[in-house]
Amino acid sequence: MIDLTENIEKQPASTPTDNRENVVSVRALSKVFKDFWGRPKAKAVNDVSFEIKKGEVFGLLGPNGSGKSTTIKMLLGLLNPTKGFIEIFGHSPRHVKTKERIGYLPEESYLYKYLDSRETLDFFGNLFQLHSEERAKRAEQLLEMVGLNQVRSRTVGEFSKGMQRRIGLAQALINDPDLVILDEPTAGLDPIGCREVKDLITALANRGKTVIISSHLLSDVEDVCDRVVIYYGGKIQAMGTLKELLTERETVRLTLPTLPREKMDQVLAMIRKDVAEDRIQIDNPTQNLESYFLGVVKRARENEQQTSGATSGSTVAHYLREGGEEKDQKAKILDRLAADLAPTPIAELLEEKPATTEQKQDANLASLAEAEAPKPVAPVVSKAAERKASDEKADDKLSSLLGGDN
Amino acid sequence: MRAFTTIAANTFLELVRQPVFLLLSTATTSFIIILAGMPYFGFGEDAKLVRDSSLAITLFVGLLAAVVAASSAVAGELRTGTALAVLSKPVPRVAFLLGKYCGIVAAVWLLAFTNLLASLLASRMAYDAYGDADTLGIAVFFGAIALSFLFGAFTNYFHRRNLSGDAFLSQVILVTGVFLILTFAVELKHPGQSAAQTVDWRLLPAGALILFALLLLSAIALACSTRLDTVPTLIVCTIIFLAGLVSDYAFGRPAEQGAWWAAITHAILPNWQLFWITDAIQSDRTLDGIWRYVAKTAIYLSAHIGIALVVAYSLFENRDLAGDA
Ligand SMILES: Nc1ncnc2c1ncn2[C@@H]1O[C@H](COP(=O)(O)OP(=O)(O)O)[C@@H](O)[C@H]1O
Ligand SMILES: [Mg+2]
Repeated sequence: MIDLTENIEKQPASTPTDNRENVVSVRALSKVFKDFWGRPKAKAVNDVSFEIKKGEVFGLLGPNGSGKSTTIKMLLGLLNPTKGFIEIFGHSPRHVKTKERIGYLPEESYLYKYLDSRETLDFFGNLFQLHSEERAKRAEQLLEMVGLNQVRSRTVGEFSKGMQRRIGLAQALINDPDLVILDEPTAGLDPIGCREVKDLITALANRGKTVIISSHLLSDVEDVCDRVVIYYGGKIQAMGTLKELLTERETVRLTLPTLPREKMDQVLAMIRKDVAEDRIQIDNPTQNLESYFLGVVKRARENEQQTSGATSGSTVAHYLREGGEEKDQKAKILDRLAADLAPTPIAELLEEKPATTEQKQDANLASLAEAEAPKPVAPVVSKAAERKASDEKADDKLSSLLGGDN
Repeated sequence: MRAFTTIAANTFLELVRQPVFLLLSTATTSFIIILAGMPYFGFGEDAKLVRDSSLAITLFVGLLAAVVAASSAVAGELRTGTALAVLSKPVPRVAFLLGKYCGIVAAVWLLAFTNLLASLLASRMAYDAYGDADTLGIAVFFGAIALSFLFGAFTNYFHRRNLSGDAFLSQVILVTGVFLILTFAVELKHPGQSAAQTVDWRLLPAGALILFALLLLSAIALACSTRLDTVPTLIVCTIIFLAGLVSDYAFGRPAEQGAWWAAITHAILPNWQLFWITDAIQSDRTLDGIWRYVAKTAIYLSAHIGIALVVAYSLFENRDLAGDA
């Protein structure tokens, strides 16, 4: 069991992470389902504790039946915990008023089957006492966002599973929630839909919203989550930021444009001096299937091929964004930058700004050498803290680049 | 408050859009009218036969509709998880429950209302060995039913609206129209009779009591549906209904002899006999003080509805809402 909670707690108190408001606190939470006679039937959640800060994207991972949905339903006050303590925005989960700030996508979103998508959103908007113009405006934008505005007059009962998910997602966002809880949001969605959901989550997080997503599809959460817990059998098996959990500290990957043969040999020769041959691995990075698929579909769409299914919503609903079009543009830049940064983990090791390519390479090589020495356990902690700090520096840079309003 | 009205309206619409309501409404109103259109040779009891059976149909179909409506609007939504989406919004559980109740009652009442109109029409059409079927009335009535289907098909075809819902709601309006026209604008005389046939207005208080009974049955069905599925709900409601029918006999008499358990059961069980006064409607008798009786029954009823709703609430308030998973 990898427990990195300790490491997190050891971080210096000066990091802004610790000052953020707690949106969700869960302590020693357990849920036992009982049968008709009150005998315990299934221990769905077993002594779980975690905290979620404002603005975090928090992933609940685990195989089917590991207790993710049960945890979420307890957070929403739908299930009563057998034991333990839950607080959401400083209130009990049963506090009705708090729910104005929460959006929830259930794992099975069967909505009212005789309502069309428009009426569905209107119904849920009404539960939040929204004005009718506001409801109409938001419904319009949400339908655009989830790509259902062409089938708006069809009743939800006729929708395919993926379309049901989309309308479910739209209803979860009708109140512009501060805390968005998505239970398996990508189940039943096509890859484009998955990508859109992930983009949406990123956009929400950029606006300072807190997002909880549960999934058994790891690729879903990998790109978007700040922090995850991994469940198995109702217990937390691991918890921490993805970087903490996934970084292999004993190896380093170098990504660079193809070098001429002799340059390559030089570099390798240099490395071989210190490292055994069988520990060096050279290959061409491959695209993952997702980005490949997205590329194919994008090309097809550019060739204007017809589809009778759900179209892909292009943009995040306007009211869910920070401001006008200009900001939207910024969000896109931010996404692109983030995407560019992501696949080069070495950049994260840089304490200084990544200015030029040469500098980058130098630094890479330097850290390469550094990484060779086996690290004692203690420095890892400070390393993690350093990386966090460097991340934040990068974030600051980005935000100042963009006008610093996110 | 907004949550309550939104849920009530949504429940009502979602229910009447289910084909079963259109089906029940069409089948039962038609059956009641056909009853009145057939000769019985009932030795002068023809009119009573039509009266009794049409009201009995109204009551039983209403009971059935209440169970179907409650289990689809409450048990069904809990099962499929729709209720989870709704109750994750700022909706107090009590508002959810009462909204559901009002929506169910509205749908059940509308169905019972058309059946009662059909019963009133039937009381006018009923004839004995010397009479004749009211062909005009029957033709106009079935014309209205057919028209309601045409209307539903029309709005479905041109506006993509829900066929069952539109057909059912237009059926209610058309049957009301037919009732008003036939009753107040068309004279019906059987050959050899000097006086025109009129609606038996004594059915009005009887019908009002049936609507009351359905109010209570809906509350009981609602309470059951917070925990049980359709079939168990139907079983429990039927048992309560049957036990309530024999309540006077099975518990009332022992209670008079001082059996405390019988007294309690007799008090708690709704006594359906109180809602069934058609037996009192005899040939030409007028019912004196009937409306005072109706008012008294209403008080008895509200106590029972209160109990049923409190039970429903206590079963629902702390219920685990897990959906199907
Ligand atoms: N309503 C319920 N009654 C009984 N057991 C349940 C109920 N809901 C969930 N469980 C059990 O609790 C465990 C966790 O379920 P769940 O939280 O839905 O898992 P996940 O969402 O991670 O797939 C499973 O073993 C499941 O069988
Ligand atoms: Mg689940």
